[in-house]
Amino acid sequence: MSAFSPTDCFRLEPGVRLRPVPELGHCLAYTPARPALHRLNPSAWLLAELADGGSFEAIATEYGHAVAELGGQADLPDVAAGLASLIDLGIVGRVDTHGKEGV
Amino acid sequence: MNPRLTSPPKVAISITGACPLSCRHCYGDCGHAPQDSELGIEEWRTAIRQLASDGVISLHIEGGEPLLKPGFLGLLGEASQSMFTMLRTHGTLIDAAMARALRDNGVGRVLVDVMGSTAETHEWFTQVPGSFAASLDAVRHLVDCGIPTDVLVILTRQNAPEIQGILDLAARLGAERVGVLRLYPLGRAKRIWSTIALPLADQMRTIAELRPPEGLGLMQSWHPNNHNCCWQSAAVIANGDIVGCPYLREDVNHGNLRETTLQQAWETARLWRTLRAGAVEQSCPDCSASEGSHGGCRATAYAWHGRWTAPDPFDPILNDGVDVSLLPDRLLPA
Ligand code: SF4
Ligand code: SF4
Repeated sequence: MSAFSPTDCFRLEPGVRLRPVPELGHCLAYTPARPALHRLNPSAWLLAELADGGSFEAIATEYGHAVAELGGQADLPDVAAGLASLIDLGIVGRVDTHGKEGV
Repeated sequence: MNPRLTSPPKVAISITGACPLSCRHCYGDCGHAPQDSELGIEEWRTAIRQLASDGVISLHIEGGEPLLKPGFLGLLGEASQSMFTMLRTHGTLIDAAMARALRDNGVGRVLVDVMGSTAETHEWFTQVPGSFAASLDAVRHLVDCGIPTDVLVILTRQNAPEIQGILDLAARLGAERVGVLRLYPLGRAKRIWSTIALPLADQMRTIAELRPPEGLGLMQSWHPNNHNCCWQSAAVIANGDIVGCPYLREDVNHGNLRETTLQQAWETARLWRTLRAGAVEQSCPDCSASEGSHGGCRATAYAWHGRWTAPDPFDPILNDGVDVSLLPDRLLPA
């Protein structure tokens, strides 16, 4: 079961910078609020790119389409786990949909 | 074949050649005052903005002593908004207030150089009494501020018996890792090479015998960690010269930041492109299946053999009878 509701929305935390390194098949993510540099694998990279303020449902749908294009299949628990990891690292945050942005 | 990056994600800068210490082995031949030719702080700030917009996301800052650069904290604060910043320092200027200032300006990691586990050995190198205690205090202050902190040591004849002691000391101080680095024939180190350089077998034995205390990371740059990492390396020294790697500063110049950008040099400098392509005459077969040392470090390969494709003599597999405790003829003082 997902820890997120389908309507929970997600976006990059303020100041987070993504630096794709396509030659090496990964993306670097810098989190200035907790200074650290993280190396994202392609799945985490895709989720971080998709976290543009949209809902969990929308992110999961787009993620599923992208994975399907590569001949794979994405499960909702995988998407939830991936987002949870990005949240733990301070790369992605939940958007407060009740009018103001969450922290 | 090495990966071909269209632009470098990580860059190292030597922001100043000024330093209050007088290390006998100083690679930059640093003095107490900056050279007239150094980039000013505003030139550095402009250059760093350009680096960020060209895709650099990790900035390693060293010197000299970076904290001596006027305006350094402001530069750090700006850079750390868009780049992971690492500061290499000997630490003698870091008291509790400076550690807090570094944290508040977003530093990501600090690397503190020591040259021994005792004041006697460390200060034989630095030639400044009290500098050992000051460096250790710096590590304490940085750790107290929650800044990830590493200790670095360059392995020499004098400190080889003390490397384990440095590991133990670093663990007690709360450092996360110790990096044991190879000695390079640069700057003042060249002039005292036969006094401070160890034969390769002694270096390898010293590294093999190390037992890091639990919880302390050990980084070391001997085989198979002597990667030919020129493919991803980019560096600028205090006068703005683009040198690819700080260890190449005496043999390479890909342009100057006053005349070009690092990205332009990355794309156009012929020698840089050659070094990044990674052609080597010989590689260690044992590690070539993984990322591999791939011929080893280009700086020492070139220093001893005068060819960019030569094998790294600090690699025991590729050493071929070279005594690295003796300076190569091409580097002997005239
Ligand atoms: S602390 Fe570093 S920069 Fe300063 S003199 Fe020693 S080696 Fe050179
Ligand atoms: S000179 Fe050596 S340490 Fe520097 S980038 Fe090249 S291989 Fe790496």
